[in-house]
Amino acid sequence: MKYFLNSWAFQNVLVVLLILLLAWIVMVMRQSEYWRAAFRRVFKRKLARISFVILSIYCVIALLDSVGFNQPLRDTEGQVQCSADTGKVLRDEQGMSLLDYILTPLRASKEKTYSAPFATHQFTKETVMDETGNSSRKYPALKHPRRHLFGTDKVGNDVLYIALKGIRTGMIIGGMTTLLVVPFAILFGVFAGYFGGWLDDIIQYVYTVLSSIPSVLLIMAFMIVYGQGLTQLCVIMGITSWTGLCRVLRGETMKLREMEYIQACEAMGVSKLKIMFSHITPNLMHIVLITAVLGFSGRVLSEAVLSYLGIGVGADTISWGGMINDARMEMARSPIVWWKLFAAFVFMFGLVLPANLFGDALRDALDPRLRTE
Amino acid sequence: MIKLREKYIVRVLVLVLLALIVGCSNDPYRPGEAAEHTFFSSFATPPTKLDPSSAYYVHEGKIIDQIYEPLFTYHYLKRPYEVIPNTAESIPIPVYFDKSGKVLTEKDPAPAKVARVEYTVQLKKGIMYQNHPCFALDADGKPQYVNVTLKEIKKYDYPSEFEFQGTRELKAKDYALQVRRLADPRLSSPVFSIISQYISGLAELNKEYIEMLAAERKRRQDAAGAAYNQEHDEKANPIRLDYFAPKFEGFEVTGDYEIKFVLKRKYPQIIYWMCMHFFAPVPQEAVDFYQQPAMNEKQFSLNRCPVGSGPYFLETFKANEVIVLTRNPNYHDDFYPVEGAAGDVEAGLLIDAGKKIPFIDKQIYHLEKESIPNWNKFLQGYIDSSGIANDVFDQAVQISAGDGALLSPEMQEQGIRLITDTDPTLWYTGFNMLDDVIGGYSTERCKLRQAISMVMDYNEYLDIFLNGRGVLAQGPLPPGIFGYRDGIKGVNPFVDEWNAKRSRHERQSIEKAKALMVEAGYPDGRDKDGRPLTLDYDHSAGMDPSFRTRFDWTRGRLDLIGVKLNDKGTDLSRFRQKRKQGNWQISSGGWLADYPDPENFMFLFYGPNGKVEAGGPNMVNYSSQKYDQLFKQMESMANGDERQNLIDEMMLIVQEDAPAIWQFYPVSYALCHKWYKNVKPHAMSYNVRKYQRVDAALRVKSQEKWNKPVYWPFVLLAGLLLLSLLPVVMKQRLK
Amino acid sequence: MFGYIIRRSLYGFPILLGVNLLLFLLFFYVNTPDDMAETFLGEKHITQEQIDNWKQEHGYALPRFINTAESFPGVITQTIFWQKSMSLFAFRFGRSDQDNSDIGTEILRRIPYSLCITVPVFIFSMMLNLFVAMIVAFYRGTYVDTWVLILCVVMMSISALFYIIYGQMVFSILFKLVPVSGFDSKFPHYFKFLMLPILMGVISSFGGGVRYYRTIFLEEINKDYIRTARAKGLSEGVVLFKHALKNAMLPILTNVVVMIPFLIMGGLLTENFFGIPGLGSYMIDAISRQDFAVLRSMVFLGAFLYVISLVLVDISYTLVDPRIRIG
Repeated sequence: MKYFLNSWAFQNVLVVLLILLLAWIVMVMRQSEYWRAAFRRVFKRKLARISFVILSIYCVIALLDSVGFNQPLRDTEGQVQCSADTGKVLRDEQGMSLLDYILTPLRASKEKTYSAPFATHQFTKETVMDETGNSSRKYPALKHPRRHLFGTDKVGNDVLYIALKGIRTGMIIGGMTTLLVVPFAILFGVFAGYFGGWLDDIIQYVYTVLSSIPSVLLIMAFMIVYGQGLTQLCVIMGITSWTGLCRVLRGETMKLREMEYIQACEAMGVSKLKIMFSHITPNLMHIVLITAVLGFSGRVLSEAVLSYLGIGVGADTISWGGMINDARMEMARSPIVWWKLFAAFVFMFGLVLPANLFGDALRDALDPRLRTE
Repeated sequence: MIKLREKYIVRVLVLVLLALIVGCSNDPYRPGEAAEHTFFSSFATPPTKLDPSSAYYVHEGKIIDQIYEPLFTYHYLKRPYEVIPNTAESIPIPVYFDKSGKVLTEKDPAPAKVARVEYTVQLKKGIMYQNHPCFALDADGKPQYVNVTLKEIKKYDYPSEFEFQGTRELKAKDYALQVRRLADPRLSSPVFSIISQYISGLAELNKEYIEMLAAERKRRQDAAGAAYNQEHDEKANPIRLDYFAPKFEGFEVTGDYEIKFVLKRKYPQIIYWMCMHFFAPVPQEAVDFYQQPAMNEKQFSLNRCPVGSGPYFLETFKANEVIVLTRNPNYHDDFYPVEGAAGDVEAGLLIDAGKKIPFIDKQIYHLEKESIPNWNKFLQGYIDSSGIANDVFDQAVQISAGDGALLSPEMQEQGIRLITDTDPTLWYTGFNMLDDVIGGYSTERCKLRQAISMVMDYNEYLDIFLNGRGVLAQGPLPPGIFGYRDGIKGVNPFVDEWNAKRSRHERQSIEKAKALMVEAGYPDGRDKDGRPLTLDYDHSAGMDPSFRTRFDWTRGRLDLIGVKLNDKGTDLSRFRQKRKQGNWQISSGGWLADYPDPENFMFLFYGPNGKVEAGGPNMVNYSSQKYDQLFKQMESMANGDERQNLIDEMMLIVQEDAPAIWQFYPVSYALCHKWYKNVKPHAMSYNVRKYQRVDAALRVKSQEKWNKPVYWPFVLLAGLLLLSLLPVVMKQRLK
Repeated sequence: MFGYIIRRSLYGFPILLGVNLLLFLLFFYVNTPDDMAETFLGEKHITQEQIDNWKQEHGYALPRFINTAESFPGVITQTIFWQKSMSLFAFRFGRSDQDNSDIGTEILRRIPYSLCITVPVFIFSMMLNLFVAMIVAFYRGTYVDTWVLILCVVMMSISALFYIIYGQMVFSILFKLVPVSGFDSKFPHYFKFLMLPILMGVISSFGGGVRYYRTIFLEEINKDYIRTARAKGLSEGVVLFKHALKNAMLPILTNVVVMIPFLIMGGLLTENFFGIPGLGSYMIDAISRQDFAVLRSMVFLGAFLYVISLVLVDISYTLVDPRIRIG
């Protein structure tokens, strides 16, 4: 089960769901003048436009990395192999994503071990034997000199490639958690706020219990028990973060419930479910959207910390947190190997900063009074 | 008014800043500490069990082995490791008895004939314990601290601070008490299950203690009713077990200074066990002292506050901050060895020969969880030695075939020395012999495993991951253990070859491996259908940051012969479950020597030790009749040609069947500053600090030279900040 | 008032019960006491007997929820849940699974260490953030505002990990001004160890803090009474620093009270990196050793402090703003 949950296929189901959800939201928003006006206001800002472009690039890379295929197996001569019995083309069981395919030159340009960015020679000395059998220690030349924008890591992988692969992990952690959080938060928040009474009590009780546990501790406990993995991390981050949004939505719903147009609906006999989902929820969407975008960047940052604490996505998945974790040892070298940490820093910063800026712009345009920490 | 206050604040701030800047230094110690004969080091994991019956890990052993003195110990300099008497007068000679109780006259009888072995040990006289409140007597000669209340001891943080201290002579009874404590179920001693197989009556003693405890608990539960909570009850009122109540013939006190211990069967390795802290003396006074509820409340227990007779005693133990060991003023006469191994004279290890030890007055260990800070403190000169086997130090060292280990030029300039030693430790990758694909004993399967072993070039692994800090393994026996063969004689003929030019073992070529794959029925790594052979790698190393890269390397190597590898990582408990059920294919393992005897390694492949069958250490479930038979012969034999021949024969069997990829024997190393002397790595004993010496004056000089604070960037930064504020102020003025 | 406090506190009880139940299900159903025993007994030589023994000695040899072997009160009390989880309510944390040390004593021992870092960080960063936020609010709409805000977002977008790693590199390795890490609990000696972690703590909370307080100030500035004050001809500085600050105290105070659990629980990263033996590093240790007894206690403690802080928030509201009444 754990393997299924962490498998690529399962994660991609979620990716598809996420895309569908996004598409639906965009469709709904396009129909409303309010949202179109709001987004016009957002895109009036230069920073927001730039941020949006950068975020889109990240999204595209993450998507490319999510579309995968199994390459046909080739024998030593390069011929495609077929099964002896069925005649079907045999395929490599270890899949490959479009991103891997595009980055084949980067992926293939492996060195033996560390090399600095744009270096021509290896970072460490090695004993080299010449024809006469004399050994001497020198820096061997790289197989692919001046090709590594961020240098290479301990086993000679291009760090740029690893950082690019980390994008999908980062986006999934930010995005998938949101996917888990939003429906629950809306459902529970609106129900609790609209119905009140015992339902409200129960929902309040549940989220108070959850939020009374320090979230780091709850995440730790969960990860120890269920093991490390991307899916587990998303689930537990979802569990710890829906409470905040739910609380806000509940409060807003309580306010809306007293508004005249809702009272009018009730008087006309519109069913309660319809009131909740057609009249209340759309008026909460701006809060949801702002929280989602700002929460996204927070989650990307927490992933790094959690991976560093040893309770992150695990060693199987390439992630920026994992890169920082690896870099711990490298920082102690003399001279230090700084490029892996640097690459993780650049890529993380490149995602979180635009997300924050875009979130800010959204908030200013939609609800300047909403307080976010 | 407001203006005045502002001025005042600004002045105070400037003063504080100045004070901070002037007082800045990266020296982590108190002023003057470095100038004393003190040894500075660090620890990464807080020791949690210092009780000699339960202390198990290296970081715990490093502390308590300097405090507790077992009967025997290892010679500091001689290699191969030699056992010498410590508190005993001499190494005892075993007396063997047969089933009818008759003494066997042969010197080395066959194990089957032996039904009972007796050892008699004489203790040295006049050895005194460290000063400790548990020995303190009042005016009437009765123990000072009996039935103490919490109020009386509230002010003390550690037993070394108690007002009254005392000492007494070490007696045979103290050793007997500790052996009995090994059977105490509350201490769950990690060696009990092994030791009780040999020491006569120990297992029965354990049963009796369990019954005694159960009876007492029953009584207490009946008295307390439903409110009974074992944990809280025993915290407030610990159960006092009368250790000497049951009879126990396995370890008897036959005089104040004489011990007789009895084994159920022939087991000469027992002497090695008796070099460990598990068999160190524990005074009854200490046990009684710590069982008082007030002590419990203050967390004074043998786990945190040891009482021993060794060269050092524990003065401060703040497991999460600092550990201080101080020279034991009552320590008996002890001298630096006058003989050493070859090369010790040249290395300057015998300069202090015959002098009275210890030299170092105090050892201060600070908690250092992260490796980066620890490494930097070492480079700054604040830590005297890096300790052995810390990952970080791979980075500073490079190994070349010709001239051995090399330090980076900067470090050489600092006068840092590198001291290397091959550990008696084996790392291997096991194949589960019960598995349908990779296990089994047919020729094809053996060839398949050999091919995989051949392609796993651990010389390359050592280069990449450990800077060559290891020796390619040829079989289960590491160097330094009797039976190990070096050079061309020791080569594993099925997988490796001897490279005379670089004088090291190397794997045979990949072409050879490919040929073996063809013979095994997997040409190019494909089975009959043309599907690639895919294997599962089981591990629980997901937490380890370096695992990913190591796994990628393994995968890359296997890819050379077309074999694919799946990552089957789980958490530790599920991983153990899988091993117990034999439900895995490939998995790594390691074995650290308990004692320097081949039996301790060869039994890893002894059939009856199978993990699935018996829960034993034979993880790969290897079982070969021939091997098992030879093992039984070899097990308790005295070292000599005959034993060597048996080992050679066993080695060939296990090398051909290849139940494991022999990875490497790690080379441990220590980095030492130039002021830290008499350092020789010792894999068996941690009681080595007493031989070492520190030149404090040189240390202070170097620390000052290497750590001059730099201030100018802050002046610059402050200036820049002020400049950036200028426009604001100007604007305000204009207004 | 007093009755209200009592009532609010009692409301915390079911919450803590829920926390306990949740943790119990998490810990004892997925990870059985058998698994725990194996983890702690080490791998080299292990037998089922030893496992049973370990369970007996650590009090895990009982049924989980209901002990059918006992008569009435024992049915509930002689169970793991009662003895291990419910006893937390009496602050009897029990012993660590790992080394038998008393958890309650250990927690008390470690709290001051955590406070050494968190309290100065909190005070300094609050002072700095409030000060900067006020300046920014004063110059709102100018280039100062824009650039400080951008600086804030930039600083918020950098992971705390980088601050710590680079901070150590710059201040103690490059400039050699402070020790890399460590601690000395004796009086003046600990200052040099505290400077760097405190500085890093202040820096890493700068971005978020300034933005938060700025929003609060701007909200206040747009209110009617400020307009009235301005209309009276008071200078902008007086309006901002006297009137707005006074009225912004309520949300600021709420924020302070909410921080209480975090102050006591310590900083995980900071304590680990700088080797400070507070509660944060206690938790990290517990995790790496899989010591559930410690983890259980720490979670309970965290939840307990949270509940307390909720009550305190309510009380502080009434104290600061007499308009708020409690029924």
